[in-house]
Amino acid sequence: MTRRLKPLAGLLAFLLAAAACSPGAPETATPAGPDGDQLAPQIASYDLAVGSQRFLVGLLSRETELVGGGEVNFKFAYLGTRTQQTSGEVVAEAKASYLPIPAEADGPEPDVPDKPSILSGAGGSGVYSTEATFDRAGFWGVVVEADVEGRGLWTGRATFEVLDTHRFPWIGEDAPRSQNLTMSSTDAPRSAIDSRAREDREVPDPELHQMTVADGIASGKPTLVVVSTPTYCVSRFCGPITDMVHRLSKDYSNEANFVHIEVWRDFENKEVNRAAAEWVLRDESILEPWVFLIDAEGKIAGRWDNVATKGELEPALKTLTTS
Amino acid sequence: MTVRQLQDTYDQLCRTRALAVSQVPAARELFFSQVHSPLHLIAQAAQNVDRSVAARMLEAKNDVESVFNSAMSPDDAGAALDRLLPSTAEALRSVGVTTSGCDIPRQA
Repeated sequence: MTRRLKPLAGLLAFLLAAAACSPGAPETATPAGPDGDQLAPQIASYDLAVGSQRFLVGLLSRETELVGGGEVNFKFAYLGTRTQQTSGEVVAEAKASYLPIPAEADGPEPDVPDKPSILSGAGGSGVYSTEATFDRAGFWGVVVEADVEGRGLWTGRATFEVLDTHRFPWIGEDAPRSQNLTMSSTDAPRSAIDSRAREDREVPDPELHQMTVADGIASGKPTLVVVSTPTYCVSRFCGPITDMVHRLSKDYSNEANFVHIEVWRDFENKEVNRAAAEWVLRDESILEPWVFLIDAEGKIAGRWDNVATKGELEPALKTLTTS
Repeated sequence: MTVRQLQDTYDQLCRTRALAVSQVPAARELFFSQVHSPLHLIAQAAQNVDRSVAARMLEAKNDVESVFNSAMSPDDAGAALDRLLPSTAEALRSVGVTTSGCDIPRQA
């Protein structure tokens, strides 16, 4: 279900001042930062633009403990542009749900508490997600409010940029007809097919390296593409997400194509695989992991940046495979 | 992360190695709860200085994950961790963080 942001009255400045002396923060809570916040939200979305899209935030305490589970509240304010700042009025708010990611590749689905809680990390990590609509390009702020188990009401804030248009392939656009490396490729080191493979180690998911994206589109079936680098991942989500796509491929191999594009041809020398560059290299910077769902006509039908869960991918896949 | 937190991560990796001698499931739990995520931050910092150093550490980390997700024999876990320890120390050195050595009990 898509959550729409609802208009709110009030000023961000007022909100920030109020948050600094929140009565919900008990004395035992993590010490607040100089701004009065106990949370340090990390924007986990990669490519925000005007319009509606999934908006992701990772939550850490000031002492870098992971906060996860349940729902939190996001309050959005438009802050203006580099040359023209606004008063920072809160323009919308939304509830955000926790998206858990297993700690280890191929690990079990983690147990997630019903209420925002300090998590140990052993059960994995994750982010809070909501569907957000931004009506203007420029800089935005988000205030996060979380009623953390045993700690009380914690707040945190972060700023982010919203562009006029998406920099990376977006829903409705033609998918790049990539000629990615496959298990049949003889002109590349094995680690360029999958960074987990090396001289003494096989590609762990050869089923995801059987066809090119171009061939997948030509087949007339939907194609799910994961662009990731399980060994050299910056975000730490690549391995679990690639393995989740691998598991999904076993259940839908007759109805859809599944392709893993490894990011790096040579990590040490910063050489990016050409196919990966078509999807995730912009302005000389790489972001990973991503999952893209391509429909039978070759248009992008779904896109998940940084974090993707089975609970998000499977319904989208079913929509295409049963239509 | 602070220098102290980075050094703590290395100390926890040493504890993981010590546990792997006889308690591989406990070593696995400690690795994924305390060590895994900070290693990504260390790699992120190291790759801005020396990508070869970051690559060695990430490849060794991947080996440890593979062992912990499959056979989990003490020998395999120990061997993988023995590769990860020096590559982590090297990555930390590359960003100016020193570590003390591990005191790891060995099986008789």
